[in-house]
Amino acid sequence: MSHYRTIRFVSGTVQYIVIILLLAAVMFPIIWMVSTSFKEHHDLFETPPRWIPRNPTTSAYQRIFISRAGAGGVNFLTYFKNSLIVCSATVLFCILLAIFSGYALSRFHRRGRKSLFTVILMTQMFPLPMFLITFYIMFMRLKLLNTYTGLIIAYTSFSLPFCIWMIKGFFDKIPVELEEAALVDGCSRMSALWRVVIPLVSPGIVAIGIFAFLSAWDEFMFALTLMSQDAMRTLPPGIVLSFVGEFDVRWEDMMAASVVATLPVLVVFLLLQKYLVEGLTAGAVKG
Amino acid sequence: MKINRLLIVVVIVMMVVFSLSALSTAQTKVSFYSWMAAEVTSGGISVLQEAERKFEEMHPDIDIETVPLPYEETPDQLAIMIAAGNPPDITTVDVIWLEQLAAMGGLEPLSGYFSEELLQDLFPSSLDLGRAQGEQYALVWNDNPNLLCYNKVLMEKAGFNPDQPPQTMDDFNQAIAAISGLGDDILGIELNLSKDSFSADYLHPWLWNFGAEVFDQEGNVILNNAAGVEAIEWVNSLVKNKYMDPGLYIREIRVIFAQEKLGFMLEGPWIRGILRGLNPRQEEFDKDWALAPIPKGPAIPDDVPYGYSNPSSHMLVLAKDSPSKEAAWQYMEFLISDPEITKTYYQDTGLMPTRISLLNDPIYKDDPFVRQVLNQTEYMKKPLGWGPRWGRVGEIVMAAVQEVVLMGRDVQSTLDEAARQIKIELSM
Amino acid sequence: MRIGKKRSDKRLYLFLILPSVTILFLTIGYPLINGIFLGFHYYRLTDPARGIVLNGLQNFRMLLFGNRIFWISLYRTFLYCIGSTGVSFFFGFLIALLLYGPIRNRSLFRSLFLLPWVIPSTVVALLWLWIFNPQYGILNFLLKDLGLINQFQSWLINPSLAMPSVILATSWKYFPFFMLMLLAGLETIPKELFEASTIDGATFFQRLRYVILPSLKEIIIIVTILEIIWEFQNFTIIWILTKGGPVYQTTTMGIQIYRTAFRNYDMGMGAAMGSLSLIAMLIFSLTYIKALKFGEGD
Repeated sequence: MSHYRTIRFVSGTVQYIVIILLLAAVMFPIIWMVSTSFKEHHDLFETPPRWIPRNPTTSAYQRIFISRAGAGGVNFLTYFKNSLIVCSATVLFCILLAIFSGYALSRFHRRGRKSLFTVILMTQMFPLPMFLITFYIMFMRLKLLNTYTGLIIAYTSFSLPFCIWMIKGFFDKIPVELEEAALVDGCSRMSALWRVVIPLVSPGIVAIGIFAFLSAWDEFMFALTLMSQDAMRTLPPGIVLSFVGEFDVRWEDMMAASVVATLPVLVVFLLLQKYLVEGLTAGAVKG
Repeated sequence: MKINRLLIVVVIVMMVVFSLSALSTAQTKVSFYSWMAAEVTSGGISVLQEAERKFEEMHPDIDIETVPLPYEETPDQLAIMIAAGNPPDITTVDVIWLEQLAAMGGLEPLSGYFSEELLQDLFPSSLDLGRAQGEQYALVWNDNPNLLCYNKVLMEKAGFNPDQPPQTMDDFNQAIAAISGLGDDILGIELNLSKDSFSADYLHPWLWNFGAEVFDQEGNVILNNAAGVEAIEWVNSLVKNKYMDPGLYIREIRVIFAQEKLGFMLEGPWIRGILRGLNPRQEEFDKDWALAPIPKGPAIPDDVPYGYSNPSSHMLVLAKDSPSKEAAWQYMEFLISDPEITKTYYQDTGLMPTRISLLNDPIYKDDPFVRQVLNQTEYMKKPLGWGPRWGRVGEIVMAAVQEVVLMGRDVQSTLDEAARQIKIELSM
Repeated sequence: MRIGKKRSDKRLYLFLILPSVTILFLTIGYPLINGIFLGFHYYRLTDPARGIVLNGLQNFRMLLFGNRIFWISLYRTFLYCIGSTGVSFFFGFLIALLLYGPIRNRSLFRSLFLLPWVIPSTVVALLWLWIFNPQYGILNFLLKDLGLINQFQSWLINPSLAMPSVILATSWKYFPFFMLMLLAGLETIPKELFEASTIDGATFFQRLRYVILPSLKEIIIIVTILEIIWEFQNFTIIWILTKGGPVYQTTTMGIQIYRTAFRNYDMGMGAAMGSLSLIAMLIFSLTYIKALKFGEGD
């Protein structure tokens, strides 16, 4: 522990106070979000605003889950379900494809980590609004509009390059000799991959899974455009479209929906964050 | 062998995903996209649910799917869907988008659908608003002019008769100043000066009052002439004198009006449903505010009693590629014609029917609110700039207005630059 | 048996890599080629009679020399990217340094600081829209209570505050990414380096300059460049907060491309703008990588 102390630039107490202050600054929007979600509509506009609602109520939550819906009768749970389906499938495909290509790149191009990074960077640079119309026309011809498949394909390809790069970092760390030993023992290439290599990169798999999940859970523009039916919408456009009308914004409903939309990612993330850190750094940090 | 097993897994997973996305039914499906279905406060949702239910009972073979799509996203989303040849069967559009949408060629010309009886039952001006590119493309759902919406209590406090709203620009300026003087947190007037092109439409009554326009009859840009400068100087003076906070856009404006901290704003008949939703006193609040005609400016001809309003009518359009046009048209006609549905719609939102026969019902005929709106409807005109590229022009106009009121730029040179930008843009 | 030398390995390699290459080509390659191609055409949705007509460099000439909107949005994009990356890097690094060490409740703090990162962008944008609300937003009340402002501000509409406000909202979401990566980087620095510098009696800033920064150089380059590129693409937060206004203060490339293509229905011009922004981004990031001498000796 001795080297920890040496990095300090302020005393322990000051350090603690600075952390608490920064934490307060970072947390206040979240607290405000939760507080708003328990307010009545009229109480939103009282001045000065209260951190603790005057009449705490769960009516916003009741509205989004039970009565609140588009005229078609779809409620918030549908958006939630759609998001879950799209995101889980995206995670699955990303993992599968990234393992395949990450392994191939690692074993057949051991060098060139940085040139691969440059290529990955380039795939992230393409202006997405420019893709929107092409995607729409292409997916319409393939009858993929308003299907989970369409959105899953789109999200998989957006996250895939970065996932490949992350998982390649993990494969690179595993000595080829391990596999070669398995081959000598009579395993096929595939089963060597399956039995020997995959278990060793499982933290990386979790990492790319989280990354793909977070990105898919976050996306708005393509979800808005490719899913025009209310029953097929995912959470981000669902929240924006249901709670922002021409005439007003139901802040309390929107904040309640936001709280609910954040919770699952939060749980997933808190449980698995150490793998994501490992995954992100395996690519970036020398190892 | 092992490779094959993996392949099988992949195929199975893909098949599961594909089958999850399959959807099919036997009824005639009609999709109806409307921002009125996205509104809680304005009261549109429940009526549209009721309309859908009632219509489906009358026509069991037709399945209406009502989809909420916010006002702001409608033009973009509709354009994408039209471009790709996949628009909703029926869409609610604002009249200000009609020229652009019609130019895209995705809308069904409606002349052949109107029965003689329906044609007789609509005002010629309503029919005219539904025309674009020389063709009848839309059925007017609600014929909405914009009016001066004012707070009667503040008028009275400021020493004016609350039942005599200002009729000329001079009266208007006095009232604005007096109401602003009532307190630090009271504003005289709010105009929506956001960057969207619909704000440029909302600016037109004031432009006309000073004799200004963006284009003249021949299509030359004249925004930067003396009248244009005068009009924008007037807007700027409201900000300079602190009668108006240019930092508020339409939603905030409505909130402070409902909080009884604002004297005047420009709104259509829909505002009643909204204000009931925003003010804790709900329907009680109705008596504290009223709609009045637009005050008359110096450039308005003598035989015209008020200032002109720009139209912001809600319209229904039918997609050219719709597979079930007949069923869709039936629903469109039902929405504007059913006496019960239109009545509930009026009561909940303040938006009144367009059919003359319906308006004869005492509930509308004896209502001063309706009278006021219909009076202004007679003096409603389209901005001369309307055309396929109005969206971009409107953005340039509003950017110029924002440069003046937010950044304190000189009016004449800013408008000169805007006029130059518009010319470059249209030369392409 | 050597891996990567046999002929059957070649087949395996293709089998493994082809699915990814196919899907990436279909969903990134094809739209890209299509987009670049479209940039050389007249294609307005409002003019279906003319349809899609080749018009050479017309669109590009208009963007580069015709109206000022391209250059404005390019400049605004760089302000936004540099601003939000800079702010989130600063706070991410600061918090990483603070949390590096035997602090009580360290993992609790780390989790709490990470929270904004997992909140979806739409939620972040809507939340800040509510916080920034000029009349009822909590920020005005908070800052007034703390005595930092005298009167309420219209954060998103005041031309000089709009960009900083948008940057603030963006940085709030993304600083945890830096914190996470830099904390992980800090933990890989060998103890011996610190011990040596302690013996030398180096101050904190000397250690930062000579030990920490050189050790973290590579990771810093990677995370900043990734962040810049992601911010370059960021559309959701700005669109929901300001739609590019007031005037053109927050009109970034993504916003302007979307406006051109889907508000003004000029697909050709939108695509041309997309191609130009891609070129701008390529030049910028390659220069950045070169300037920081990333990738030496690989």
